[in-house]
Amino acid sequence: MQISKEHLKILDIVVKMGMDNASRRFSKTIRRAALIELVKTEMVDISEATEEMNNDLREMVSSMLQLEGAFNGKLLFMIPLEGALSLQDFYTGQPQGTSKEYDEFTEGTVQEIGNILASSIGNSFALDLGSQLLPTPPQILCDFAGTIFTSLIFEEGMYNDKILLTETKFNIHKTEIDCYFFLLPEIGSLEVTLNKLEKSESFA
Amino acid sequence: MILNNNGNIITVGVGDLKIGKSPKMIKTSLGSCVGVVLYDSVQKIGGVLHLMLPNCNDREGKPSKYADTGIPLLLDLMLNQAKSKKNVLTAKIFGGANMFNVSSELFDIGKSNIAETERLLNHFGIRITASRVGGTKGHQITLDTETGVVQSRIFGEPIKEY
Repeated sequence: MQISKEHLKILDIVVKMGMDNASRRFSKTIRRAALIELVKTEMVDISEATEEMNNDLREMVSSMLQLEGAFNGKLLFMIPLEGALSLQDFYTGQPQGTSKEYDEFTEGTVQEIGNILASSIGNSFALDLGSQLLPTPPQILCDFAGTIFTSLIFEEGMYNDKILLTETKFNIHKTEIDCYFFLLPEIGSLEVTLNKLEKSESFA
Repeated sequence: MILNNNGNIITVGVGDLKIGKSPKMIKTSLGSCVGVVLYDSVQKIGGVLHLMLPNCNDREGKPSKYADTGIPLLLDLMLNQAKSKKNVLTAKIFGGANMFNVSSELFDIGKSNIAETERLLNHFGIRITASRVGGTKGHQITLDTETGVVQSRIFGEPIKEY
């Protein structure tokens, strides 16, 4: 299917509402303000998108989930390794610097945040569409930023040179921690959802 | 697919290829994808292809996504755009990890990418002088076009030079 500018605009609005909801739940979970620095939805070339991410040489922890329902797609929450340790301290209410090494607790924290963000997006689509968008259990990946990002886009990139990507960047207030959240819908599965959104009163 | 002259670092994305002349550094990050590095030690020109899949199978889209269309394209760039002589070209290959936790060899894309890359380079008569392939973790590589040395970093392991 062809994604028009109108479609992009509608998706951008729904995702922004979802991310607003997600950032509030994220902040509540870690007991710190998670500020949205950027939300953008666009059609991007797979080489250009990964080129940008391959410039980030940091080691990251990520939580990747599949979405099924109103449309199919993938979600990825990604945070630098040292940021994940800080997040773990926030989450468990311990003083900063307590968590020193990546372990199953770090993994659990990242997994939980992935779940929270995914369900916020799911709720947002459910409210606007009245249809379900369910996340599968998350898969944790600990690797280079570029490698994780490539794992996210690999399947969609096999069939299309351009992908529809929503990128959200969060910053944890009064820290240097930045983290990313990506939503990658399967373009082929979006048609019904976008038509429904176009007809929805909220976007009329 | 450019002879990049902006800055000294050229980054290659998924399904893309780039060439550069000394003092450029060409880098990319790999998972199950394979990075093919061709180097001309006489002109100090290098090229990196970041391929995703072994075969194009008449699919549309970027030819540099596939080994069987991307490798001939990289070779063509080195020979016809960079004017390298085929007998001075050497190849190094990296990546091809099993990133998707599959036990079946049939669906191990990394392994298929490595096998097809080796077969094609052999077919075109390009000598593979070094390789660091396989595993289950990501890979960052940087080619120094001045020396032809590739710095290879696998997640959780020390940096090695090839």
